[in-house]
Amino acid sequence: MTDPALIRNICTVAHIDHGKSTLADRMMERTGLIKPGAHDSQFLDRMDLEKERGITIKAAAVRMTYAAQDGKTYVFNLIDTPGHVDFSYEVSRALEACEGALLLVDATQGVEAQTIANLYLAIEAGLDIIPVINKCDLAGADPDRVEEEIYHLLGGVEEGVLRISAKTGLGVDEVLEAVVQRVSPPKVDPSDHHVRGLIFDSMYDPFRGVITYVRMMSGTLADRSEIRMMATRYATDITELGVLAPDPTPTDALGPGESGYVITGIKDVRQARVGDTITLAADPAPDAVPGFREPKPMVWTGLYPEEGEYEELRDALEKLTLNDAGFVFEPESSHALGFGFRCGFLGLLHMEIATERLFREFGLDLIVTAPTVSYQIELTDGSSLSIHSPADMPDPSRIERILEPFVRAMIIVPSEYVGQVMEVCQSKRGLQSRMDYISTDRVELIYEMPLSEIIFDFFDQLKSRTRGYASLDYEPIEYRESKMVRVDLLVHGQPVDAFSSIVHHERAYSWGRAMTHRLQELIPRQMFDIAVQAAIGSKIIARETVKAKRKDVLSKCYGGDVTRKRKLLEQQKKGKKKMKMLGQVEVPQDVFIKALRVEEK
Amino acid sequence: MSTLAAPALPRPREVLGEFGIYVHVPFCSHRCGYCDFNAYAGLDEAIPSYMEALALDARTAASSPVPIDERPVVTSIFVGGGTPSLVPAASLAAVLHAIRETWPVAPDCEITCEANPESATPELLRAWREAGVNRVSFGVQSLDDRLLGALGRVHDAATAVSALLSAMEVFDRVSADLILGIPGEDDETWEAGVRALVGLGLRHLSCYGLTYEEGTPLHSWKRLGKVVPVPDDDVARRWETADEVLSRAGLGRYEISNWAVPGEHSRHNDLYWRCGEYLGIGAGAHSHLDGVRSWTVKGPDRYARGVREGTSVAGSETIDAAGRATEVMFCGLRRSDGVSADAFRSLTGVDLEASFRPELDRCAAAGLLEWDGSRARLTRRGTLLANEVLTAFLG
Repeated sequence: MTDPALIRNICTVAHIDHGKSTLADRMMERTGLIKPGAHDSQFLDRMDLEKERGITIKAAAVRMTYAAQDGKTYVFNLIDTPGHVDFSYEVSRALEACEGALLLVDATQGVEAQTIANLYLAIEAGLDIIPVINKCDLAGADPDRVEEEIYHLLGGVEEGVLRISAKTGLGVDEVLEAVVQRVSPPKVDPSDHHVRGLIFDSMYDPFRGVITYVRMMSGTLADRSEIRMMATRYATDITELGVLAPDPTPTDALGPGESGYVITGIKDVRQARVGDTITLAADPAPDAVPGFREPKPMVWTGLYPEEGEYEELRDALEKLTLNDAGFVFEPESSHALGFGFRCGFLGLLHMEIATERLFREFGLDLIVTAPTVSYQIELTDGSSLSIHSPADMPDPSRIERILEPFVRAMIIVPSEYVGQVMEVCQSKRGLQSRMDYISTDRVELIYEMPLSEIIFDFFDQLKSRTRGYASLDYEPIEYRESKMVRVDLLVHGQPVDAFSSIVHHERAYSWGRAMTHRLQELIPRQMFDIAVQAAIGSKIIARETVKAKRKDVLSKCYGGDVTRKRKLLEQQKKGKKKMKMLGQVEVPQDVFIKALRVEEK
Repeated sequence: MSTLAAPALPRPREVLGEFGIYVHVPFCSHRCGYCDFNAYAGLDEAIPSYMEALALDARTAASSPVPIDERPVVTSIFVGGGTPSLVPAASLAAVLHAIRETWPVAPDCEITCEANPESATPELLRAWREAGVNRVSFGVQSLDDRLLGALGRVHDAATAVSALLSAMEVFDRVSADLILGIPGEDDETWEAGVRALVGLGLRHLSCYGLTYEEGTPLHSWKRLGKVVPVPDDDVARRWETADEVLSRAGLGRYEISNWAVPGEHSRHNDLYWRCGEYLGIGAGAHSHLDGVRSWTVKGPDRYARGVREGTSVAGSETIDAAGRATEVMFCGLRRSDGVSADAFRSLTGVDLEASFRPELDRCAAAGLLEWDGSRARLTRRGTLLANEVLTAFLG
C-alpha cells in the first residue's frame, strides 16, 4: 500500500487523434513500465474496433511509479476516459476517480467541441487541470494560437501551458513533473475506515468474467474479501485484486486513494455497474460514493435479423450487454420485418459502435430501422407514457401533448463558416443560446435543439457545410413540448410499420414526399401498379406509383441458348424467393436498409 | 438396393420427324459493341483449317455427345455466326457437301445461311445457291445510319437495302433481323424501319430487343453513362407497333421475336422451340441429342484440333424427365401456337395438366397465359412478360 500523499490519480481530456494514447505510451516508457518501442501500438486502446475508429471506448487504469526531482517516488494512476459525450456518465465516474486532468490539445488543430465538453466535466468535478499542447514538432503547429484558446477556455492559467511532442518525447518529463507538482494527492479521511471503492469502469472477459476498475475512496480492500455492490445489492467474493502495470499484477490489498482492478465471480456487467460502490459485506459503509445512476438509453432503433437468425441475434445481444451496461434491448415484432429487438443506446456513436460489433464480431446481417428518441406523451385522460418506437405512439386523438428530449449542442468552427452552421442549426429547429470567439478566428456556438434532429443527419450536414471543420458535442438538457406526428408509409394500401417515423409536424410533408419517392425508386416494378403513400393517421399526405412492368422477356432463345437462358431464369427465380413480401408486393431485402439509410440529397 | 433404369425419354427427332444441323462460323471482320456471341475478328488466317475441321466434324460427328447409331434424316441446316458471308463460298460448299455425303438429307431440307449486308455480294449469294443454300438471313439491325453507327456496325442502310434486293433475286426466302431499343431510336425511326423492310417484299422478319450483355463494350458504355438504354416501356410499345404493322402486312408472329407469312417460318429455329434435336458443329456450338445437351470448345483453333483428336466437346448436361418437361414449356411457350397437351405428352411421356396444373392456372389467372385444357399459349400481354410465365415452369 502506498502513502496517499505519494499518489496521483489523473486522466487525460483530449479530442480524437490529439495524441492521448501516444502520450500515455510515452509516460509508461519514461517511468520504465514498458520498453520504448516494445508495443507496436498504443497500449491503452484495447479493441480492434477502437483502433480502427481511433477512439477509446473502454477505460482502463495504468499504474506507474515515478522518481520525482524531489527525491521521492510517486505512484501515478493514469485513468483512461472515453472521449465521446454519449458516454458522459462514464466519463463523470472516471473523473470522480481522479484528482487531476491533463488537458491535451493538438497544436495543429486547436480546441475541439469534444474537448470542451469533457473539460467542463473535469472542472465541475474539481480536478486540477494541466494544459498541454501536443504535436508542437509538426510543421503546421500554432501553439501560440492554441494557448490563446486554452487561456480563453480556462480564464487564465496560473502555472503555464506545457508544450510537448508525445511522438518525439519532447516535454514529456515536464508533464510527469507537473503531475507531481500541480495535482493534489487523494484526500483521505484517516478516521473513516469503511471500505468504499468507486467502480469507474468494468469490462467482461470471456475467461475471467467481469473485471471492475475501482478507485478506493476510503478504507482498504483486501484480496479474498466478501464484498457487496451498494446499489445493486449484489454480494460476491473477490477472486483477484491487482493493479495494471500495465499488465494485470495481483496485489494483496488496495489502500485508500489507490486504483486497481477487482475480479469476482460476477458474470454480468449489469451486476457491477459503473458508479456503484464496492463495500465489505460484513462491515458495509453507511453511505455510498454519490453520483450513481442507472444508464439511460437516449437513442433507440429496431434490429432485425435475416431469416432464421433470430436466436443468433438474441445471443449476440446478450453477449453485448455483458460488456456494455449502457445497452438495453427488448423483443419487438414488425409485420414487415418479422421478429427482432428494440435496442436502446446512450447515443448515436454508441449505437454505431454496437451495431458495427454485431456485424463484425458476430457476423450478423441486420436490418437497422431508423433511430428514434424517447418521447414523453401526456394523454387527454391525464396519464402519461414514455415511448421509444413509432409503433407505440397512441392515436393522435388521445394525445394532449408530446415532449421530446432537447440537448445543448456545442459546435466549434472557423469563423468563416458561422453562417453555414447557423443555417443548419436553424433548419434543425435549433435555438442559439450563445456564440463565443474562443480565438480570433474560431467560434464556439451553443444551440439548444431536439436530439431527434441530431440523430437524423445533423452531423453529416454540419461536416459537409463546413468542409469538415466543424466539431460537435452535445449533452441532454431536458424534455420540451414539440408538435410531433407519426408518418406512416403504405405500400399497395398496407402500412409498413418498419417505415413509420415520428417527425415534427412542419416536416411531415417533406419527409413523406422524400420517403415515397425513395421507395418508388427502390421497389421493383411488378405485375400491377403499386401505390406508395405517406399518411398521418388516415390522411394521405404524399403518393407515388410504381407502374406495372410491361416487359420482361428474353427476346432471343436459340439452340445454343437453352441451357444458359434456363439457368439465367433459374437464378432470377432464386433471387425472387429471397424477396420479402409486403402483402402482395415483393421487395428486395435491402429496400429496408436503403430506404432507412439516413441521407440527405 | 436394385437400380431401376429410368424409362428412356421420348426422342424428339422421332416424335417430330425433324432433325437439324447447326454450323457455326465464328469469324467477323470486326466485333460489334453489343455482340456477346462466340465470334472473333482478326483471325482470318485460321479460316481454312477451321473450315476443313467443320467438314471433318460433319463426316465423323466428332462433336456429338452421344454415339449416333443411325443417322436421322436432316430436315434443316443453319449456318450461323459470326459472319458466314466472310468465309469463301467454296469452303462453305465443302462443308455442306460433307453433310450431304454422310447424312441422309431430306429433299425439302431448309438450308439457311446468315449474312451481313456488306459482305454478301451477288457472286457470293449465287455461289451459296449453287451449294444448296435456299434461305438467307441478313443482320440488318436498323435502317437508320445513325443508329447503325451507335451499334458499331460497318454497313449503312443503303448497303443493307441493296443486299436484300439482290438476295431476293437469288433466293425465294430472305429474312432480316432488326434490333429494337437501340439508344437514340424513337418511335418514328423504328416504325419507318419495319415498314421499309415490309415494303421491300420481305416475308420473314426477326425483331430482337437490344440486350446489354456483360463483357461487351456496350455494357461498359452503359455503366459509364455513355449510353442510356431505351426505357422498357418504349421498347414494349415499339414491339407492339411492329406486331401491328407486320400482321397487317400479312406477316404473322410465330414466336416472341419472329414474324413470317404463312409457311415461311424458320423451320430450323422452330425446331429449337419445339424442343427438337440437332447436332451443332463448329466452335462453341450446342447439340441436343438423346436427352443430352452439350457444347463444344470455344476457340476456333482449339476446336479444329479437337475434331481431329476427338476432344471437341467441352461440356454437357443430361436432361432428366423433369428437365424435359420444363424445357418443353420453356422453349415451346415462346411459340405463338404455344404447347399442345398432345405435343407435351409425346415429348415427355407424361400429362401436361398432371405436371403443371397449378402453374398453368396461376399464369392464366394473371392474364399471362391461355389454357383451354388442350393447349397453353402466352397472351399478348404475357408475351412481353414471358419471363414471368417461363419462370413458373422452372424447377
